[in-house]
Amino acid sequence: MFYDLNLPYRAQHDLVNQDDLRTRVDMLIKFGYQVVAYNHVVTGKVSSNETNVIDISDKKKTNIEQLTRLTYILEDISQNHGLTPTNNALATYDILAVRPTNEKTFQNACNTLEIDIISLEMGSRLPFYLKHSIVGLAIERGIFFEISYAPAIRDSTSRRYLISNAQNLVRVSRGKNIIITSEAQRAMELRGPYDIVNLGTIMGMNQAIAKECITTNCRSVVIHAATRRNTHKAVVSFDPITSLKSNELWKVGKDKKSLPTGKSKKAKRMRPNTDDDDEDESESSQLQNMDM
Amino acid sequence: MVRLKHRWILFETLFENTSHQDTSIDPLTSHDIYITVKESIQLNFGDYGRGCTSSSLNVKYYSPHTNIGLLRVSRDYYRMVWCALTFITQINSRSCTIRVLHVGGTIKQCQKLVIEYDREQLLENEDLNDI
Repeated sequence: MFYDLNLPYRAQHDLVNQDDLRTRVDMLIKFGYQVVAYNHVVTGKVSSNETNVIDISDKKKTNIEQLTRLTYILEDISQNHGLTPTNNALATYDILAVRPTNEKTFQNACNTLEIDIISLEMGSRLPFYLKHSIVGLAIERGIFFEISYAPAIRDSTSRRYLISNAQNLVRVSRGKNIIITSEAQRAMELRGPYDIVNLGTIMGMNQAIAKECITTNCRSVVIHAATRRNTHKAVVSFDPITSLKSNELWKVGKDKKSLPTGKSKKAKRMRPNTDDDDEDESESSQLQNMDM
Repeated sequence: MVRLKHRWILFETLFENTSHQDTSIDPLTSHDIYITVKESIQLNFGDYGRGCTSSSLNVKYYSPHTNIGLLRVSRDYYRMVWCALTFITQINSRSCTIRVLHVGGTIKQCQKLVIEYDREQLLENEDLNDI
């Protein structure tokens, strides 16, 4: 399963020549990616009435899974009060990311903000130093750092800075919690997944870790985002059975024929780790008791 | 053993406007690919890169019809050449992308993969035509 969690949805400035979204997604499908996230970038104050601008309703028929992502460019700590779990508008986006521009916002993002990805501007010199302590704190909280490779393909100076910043990040985070994404404005800037794994090796990771950066780590981001949105203290979430996809029906069990359709609800745990079988049975029986 | 070992990189070139192959444009040759790869190594890895790879770099085969090519590199520097391939953005001023399909120790493995790949492509095209 290959993920590309950063495909810019709308061009940032008028000068940027951006390809049609459809062309880029077709290219991704051709390269063998299975999941893509459309990224909407916003600057300024985090407000509580953001609506999801990304429209994926007409693109449902493609054989790639589509997610939505919001990236906030943080300039000042006072703008961040909207980034809390209680902000319902932000829950319309699948993934939440943040791009800090100075040391204070970076520290704030690593320590307190409820987000999934910290995205750093890799194409130019980073305005702050990456320290083991702060980055370690973010890793403990389950936040991932993003390296985007398209700036390296566009421009020669960006390439130098990207390699330098990426090597720095890999050294400070010890190879953990890194994801590699494209941020491609045009279809020609996309690359196949194994080519990206190879780029990861020149950034200081070994091949296995580099492959994780576009597979398992990205999956962890998606699950972390779902946990953040749907669950209370990351324990239990309720979904109606009808929302399960056909390849997830095993979760309901063999007696799915006996369950009344539509009305009953099944508790579905959103935990990134494997479930304990014992705990599962006792919990589901408790919940059945509660229903009755 | 002081045998010089190689890696064979099988790659595919994807052009921006693939639908109509303009007959006035010359088809690409393996020499064009070789020049582009050398330039990319010079640009990204400098004289050191050129030095490391010059003796063993060789574009063995390239077909402009299927856009598939085969490249030979010494085993110690194949990652460097692979990165140089990834950074290529145009060949002969035509915008293109290079995607590496397979890296193998012998030509035979790569040849098997080319046959598989061509078969898949033909089946895909057949399906599209049927639909």
